Parts: sequence; structure tokens; C-alpha cells
Amino acid sequence: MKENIHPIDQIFQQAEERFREMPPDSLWNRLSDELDAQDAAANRPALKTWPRLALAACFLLASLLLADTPIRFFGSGSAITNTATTNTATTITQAPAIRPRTTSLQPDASLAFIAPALPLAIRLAAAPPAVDLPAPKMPRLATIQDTSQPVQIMSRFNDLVARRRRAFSLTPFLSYDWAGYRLDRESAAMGGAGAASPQELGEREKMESSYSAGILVGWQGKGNWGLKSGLIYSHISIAIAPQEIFASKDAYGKTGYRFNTSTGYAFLQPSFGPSPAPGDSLHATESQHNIQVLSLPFQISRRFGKKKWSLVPAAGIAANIITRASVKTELAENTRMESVTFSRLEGIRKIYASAVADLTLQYAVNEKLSLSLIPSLRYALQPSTKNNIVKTYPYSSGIGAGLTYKF
Amino acid sequence: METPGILTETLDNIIQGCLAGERSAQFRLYHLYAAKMMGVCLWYARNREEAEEILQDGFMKVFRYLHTFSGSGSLEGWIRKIMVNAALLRYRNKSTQLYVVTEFNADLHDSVSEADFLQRYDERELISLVQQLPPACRMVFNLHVFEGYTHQEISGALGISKGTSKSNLADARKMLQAALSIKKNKALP
Repeated sequence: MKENIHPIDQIFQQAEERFREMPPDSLWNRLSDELDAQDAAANRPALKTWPRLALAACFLLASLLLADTPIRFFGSGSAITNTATTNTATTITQAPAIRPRTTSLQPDASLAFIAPALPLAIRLAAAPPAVDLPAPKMPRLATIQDTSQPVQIMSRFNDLVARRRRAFSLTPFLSYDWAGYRLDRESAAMGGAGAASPQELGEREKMESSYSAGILVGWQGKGNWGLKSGLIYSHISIAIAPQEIFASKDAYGKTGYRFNTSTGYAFLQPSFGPSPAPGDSLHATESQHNIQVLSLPFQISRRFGKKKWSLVPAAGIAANIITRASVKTELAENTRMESVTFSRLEGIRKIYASAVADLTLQYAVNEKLSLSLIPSLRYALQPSTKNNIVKTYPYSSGIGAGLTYKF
Repeated sequence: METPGILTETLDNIIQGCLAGERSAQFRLYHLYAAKMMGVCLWYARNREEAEEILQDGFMKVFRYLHTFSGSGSLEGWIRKIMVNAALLRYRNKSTQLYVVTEFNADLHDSVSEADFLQRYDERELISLVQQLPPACRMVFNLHVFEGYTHQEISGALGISKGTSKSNLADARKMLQAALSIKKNKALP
């Protein structure tokens, strides 16, 4: 303490040394918002990686969608397994070899979606100005006040930030789906002899239980807006009523019994009986058709809510990849019967786009974990078939549940 | 109560967390010093709202420039410097206030014995008295009394002459002295 200090100065100095007053909670909230804004501005150069990746993915998706190449998806090994129920020796010829790829690109006139353009706003963080502070003449207290309450501090912090948004989140989920499709006629000539109309095809197939499972990645930006992507696996089951299938020539001139589905078709040649002639028919019993699809959604979301409850609608597009489409059936002629399972279908579009929307209801269990209820809708923007007797536009609605973890 | 060794280690962890941009560490640092610094800002501000703004500006600068803290001297002292500079910056932007020189009222200039002033005053009352000072007097008084600035340093910080600094300090003391006398007289039966 200075000697000969003025009495007035002494009073105020003593008061200043004693006095403390905690500011209101709202001040920390304002400070935190300003820090968030500062961090966002400083990190913007790094964030450009994500928009670039998303843009690259959209361009890739667009180029794949525009490509006019037949499917070459199910590998070169035998795709047909047979269980013979007759006494005769069974030999099954392979399905028609895959047609060679075409190299020309033919834009699909029915393509309805346009890859969204993602704006890239890059700002360089301003370098902090140099700070030139005058040295103090009277060093202040070197001790730390009020540090014996870490539990209260963290509890207070947890209360204050309980409602703060965290940037990234991960949501593994499981969903029960109601799948369906819309059929449009492509070309009667492609169906071969006795080809069914879209209406007959649709009436013959009955959607069974379907489900989806996957993981969604969310990024929450400023102002409650965010982006969502992820990877979703869907399994769709379709029961096909018994039908007559007719023989016709395939693209290589070989004759086989054409089995049509809403997803694609295949030429079958049972082991029993002579090689069919065009127009011959066989009876196919009730069949089971399973489809597996991998979806990559890109959605924009908006968060609404307060306290523990949030509603997050999201909409966007998804790229859907049919990874496997198989049919199990039994072919019968008079007393002869043969079980056939085939998974190489022709007339499938490798990747098709669909519009996706969901409305996630979230309940925050704690700062990081939330329970999510995810009703969703998907509707194909493109047919999942190509060069088939029908144009198939799959759609589905689902109700899913998941656990969201926020980083 | 933690020992100084544990305190240092805890503070180091907090500082490291703040440098890493962890919001929880920033909150802990804020919570450690907010009460004291709010008091500092109240002395420099005209009112509570302005004090909160100075405090917010100050802490933003603390988090932004924490990497420049060399560790020599106390962190509290370093943060206090930033708060004072935040207050100074706010007042430099209102330059017309810095050159107000009040009239000296000889009637109020009564010599008061030291003993009369050694009684304890409520801090908030004293803050209120300082806040009511003209801005120039308030800044000079605070810098001299709380920060230990010489008039030479005050003149450099505020952009005024040494004479104006001395005059403002004298005026501030007299006004505060008069206000305290009034309070004391009112309190007497």
C-alpha cells in the first residue's frame, strides 16, 4: 500500500478490494454466443471440406444417374441355385451373360431431380491485433478466489449449456417400413410373349414386411438449420402370386422362361424337359422376392423446440443403390417341379434418386444423448427399372427409433 | 480449501482447456474471475448495463488473447488489465467526455480528519458515488486509485495533459468527499 495515501483513496481502495458481484447468467449466454460465432468464423476454412465433399457426392450421383449402362452388379459367379425335386439329373444353365457396357451416355429424359448446389462461403479469420497494455504499478491479488466449488461450477455449467446445440450428431436407428411402388408402363414389346400389364404385375405382387436400419449423421449450424446425411440399409419383401411364365428369346438369342417382377426380370431354364420354344409356358408357384437397398440421403433440417423436446423436420434427396434383388420360386410342369432361386435380374437401374423427408422427434436424455423417433417418407424421383416392361417408382413410409449422440 | 499447488494445477488445466477452445474450460475461467471483474467494471461504468458490456468485451479479449499470457504475474492481474483497457476503449470512443473539467466548489472543500473516513462504507454505495462522477473524473480517479497510474501514465492513456489529470483527480476526490460527508451527516442522529 502506498504511503501517505489520501484518505478518500484508502476508503475506495479498501472497498474495491472487498467488492465482488457475480454477473447474471444471461451474460455468460451472450458471451457463449459470441464465442460460438467467433469459432464458426475461425473454422470456416476447415468447414469448406464438408460442402466440397457433399458437392462432389452430388456430382457423382448426377453422373451415375445420367449414365446409360446395364447393370453389372451381381458378380460373375453362379447366381442360380437349384433344388431339384425330380429324379432326373439336374443341370441348370446359367442366366444370360451380362451385356457388354455401352460407352455412350444418354441423358434420361425422366430425370427429375437436380443436384443441389451448395454455396461455399469462406472467410479468413482476421488475425488478432497486437495488444499493447501498460504495465500495472500496483499488482493485484495473486490468489484465486472461490475455487473450492468445482462441483457447483460444473453443475451450473451443465445447467447453462443443457440446451446448447452441439455441432455433430450420430443417430443409429431401426425403422419399420411400409413399402410400395407405382408402376408405369414402359413398353409392351419388352415383355415378351404373354407379358403382363403393369396393372396385372402390380396385382400379382404383395408387399410384405420391410425394415430399414442405418446411421444418420447430423450437422447443426447456426440459426437451427442443419444438414443430415448417413447410410441406410433397407430390406423389402414382396410376395408374388402364382403365375404362368412364358418362354421368349433373350438379348443373346437364347430362349428361356421370362420371369417378370416389378424390380426386373430374368430368363430361367429348368433342368427338366427340353429347351423351351418361344411361347411355351410353365407354372411358377408363389414366389418370394427380396430387395436390398443402400441409401445415401442428403437433407437439410431445421430444429424447433425448447428444453428437452425438439422437432426436427428434414427434407432432401437420396441416392439409392439396389445391392441385391433375388427371387425364390418353384417351377412346375405337370408332375415335375423344381425350386429356383435367382438373383441376377435384368432391367434394374443401378442407382436411382428419391426424395426423402422425415420429422424427427427428439427427447434429450442428457447433454449428449437423445432418444429419437423418426417417421419418414421416401418417394422415387426416378424409376428403379430400366429397359423393363414397367417403370417402377418405389416409395415407402416408415417409423423408426434411434439414439442420437451429440459431439 | 485447496492448497496453492493444487490451485495452480487446476488453473493450468483450465488455461489449457481455454487455449484448446473448450467451452467448459472457458466457463470455468469465467466463473473464477467474473465476480471480481464485474466489480472492477462497475467502478468504471456509468451503470450496471454498461458494466456488463465492458465485462463481456473484456472476457472476449481474454479468451482471444489468452495465448499471449506469459505466466509472469498473476492471471487475475492480467485479466484485470484487459478489463480496464476495455473500459478505456469504451471511453476513448466518447472523447468529448474526457475533457470535462468541473468547477471546483470551495464550499465543499472542507478538510476532514482521517479518522472520520475510516469507518466502513457499503461498497455498492461507494460504487454508486463513483458512477455519478463526470466520466473524465471517474476515469482519472479509478486509474490513479485502483490501478496506481501516475499522472504521466494517465495522460498517455486518456490523451489528456498531466495538469488536466491532476485537476480531474482533485475534483473527483472533492466530490466524493462531499458526498461522503453528506451521507455521514445524514446518518448522525
